[in-house]
Amino acid sequence: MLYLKDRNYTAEDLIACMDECDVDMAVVSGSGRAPEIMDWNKRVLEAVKKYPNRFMGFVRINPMLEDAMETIEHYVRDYGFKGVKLHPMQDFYQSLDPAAQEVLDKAAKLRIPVMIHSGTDPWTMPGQIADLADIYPEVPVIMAHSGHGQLYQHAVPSAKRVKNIILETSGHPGWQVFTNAVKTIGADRVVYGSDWPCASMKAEMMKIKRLPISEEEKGQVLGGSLARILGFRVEEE
Amino acid sequence: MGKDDGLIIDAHTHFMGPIYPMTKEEREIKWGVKEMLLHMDECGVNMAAVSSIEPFKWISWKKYSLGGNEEVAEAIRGHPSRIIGLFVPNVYGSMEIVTGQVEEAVKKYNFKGLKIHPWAQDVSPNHPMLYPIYEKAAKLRVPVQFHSGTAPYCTPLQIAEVARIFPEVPVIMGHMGKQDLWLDVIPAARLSENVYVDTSGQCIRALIERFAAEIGADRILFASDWPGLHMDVEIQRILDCDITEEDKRLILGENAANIFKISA
Repeated sequence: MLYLKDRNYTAEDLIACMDECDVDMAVVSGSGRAPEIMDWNKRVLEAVKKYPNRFMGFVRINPMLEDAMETIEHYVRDYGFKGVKLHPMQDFYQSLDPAAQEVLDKAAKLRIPVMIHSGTDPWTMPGQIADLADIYPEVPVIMAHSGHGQLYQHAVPSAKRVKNIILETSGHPGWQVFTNAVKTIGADRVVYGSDWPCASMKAEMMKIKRLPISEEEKGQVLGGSLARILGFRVEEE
Repeated sequence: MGKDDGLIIDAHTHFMGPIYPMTKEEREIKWGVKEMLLHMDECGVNMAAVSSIEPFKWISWKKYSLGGNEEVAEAIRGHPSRIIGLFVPNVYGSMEIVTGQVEEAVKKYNFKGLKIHPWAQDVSPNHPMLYPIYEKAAKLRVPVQFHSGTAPYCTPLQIAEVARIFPEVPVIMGHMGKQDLWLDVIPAARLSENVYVDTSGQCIRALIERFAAEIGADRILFASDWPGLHMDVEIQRILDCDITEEDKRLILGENAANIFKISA
């Protein structure tokens, strides 16, 4: 990300921010230019190993790479990663590409969710992601950013049409879309996200607390829904 | 942060209804001055610059003589210490009449600036048909706020061109390019010193930080885009930026006080 190039955010920075915001756990994936992405996966792996109670790794995969399927399997089976992250814009393929379908096929076999960046046309429009998810109804497909700043109007209709779409709340600043989402598809299919360090975790959290929905629904958005999707048993402290 | 900690001015809000009405009843909801003042009090916001979305619609100029700006004029009259009015000119009208309305809005109704929403009003900001409006803004020494971030009409570079042609007019790039055109904002601001930005709807904290470092915090205005967003959530975005306390003070209120010429 252009404006974060000279920053070096560490796992400890993220944990400090989570502590300040009362966030128990965070899904983390690497983000960066195509040649660097495996290095970022390794950094995420180090963080997950160091703080297994705070971080859940999603392996960022460019499905065009020859060993993409092996890498997914390796990270999930050997390192306990919880899902796959796809970024079709950064890696230059459209969301419905056969290679992306292959990732969902693999995710179905491994019983893990796939998170996909959404909201940047022409390759990550909510409708394309819904069409992809529709082919693999058993895979929870997390639509990151819920269509972002411009294509958010497509997020809820897409999720209404395709039942395995989960909407993630970062990147779209308004409250009406998420209120609509909770009322239309249910809080169990809406998950809180911050997009840290690009955005403020505190403000993104406050955005959810500000939604005109019930406390129970907020609880689901802030953690319950994702815990269910990832098959977590919430342990009593 | 709140009233006691310094001046907070929200530079970009609207009187409007839901963007996403799910029922006919919801379409009837209107958020006006009463709701806004309550929300401002709750969030510790001293003043807010507001425009109505009614005059964005051509049809409103058939219904009301000031196209729906009346609601804002009323709010200014009722709450001059809380409301900063932004007048939306009729981009479909004869410019002789329109510039007369702009002058009347500023001189008679105390509007502090103009608002143009190129996407909603179906005109690009740098279209020469709008030049008479900008000339009038220059004469009246009032700023013009634009929606930015929605292609093809509201790109940061089109807005920067207006700023270059009319250097006397403070040009406010609302939403800081939003989530699609945010990478154009700093290059556009480099082109002209009278380009200002407002932070409403801009969740990319890294952009606000970089803008403060490269262009200067004195050209950033805090804004929420209420009622679509909550003022306290948007204030939190500024507080969470890695910038100095002095920069935060400028952004949260002092810059807007200068641009809208608010006397303490």
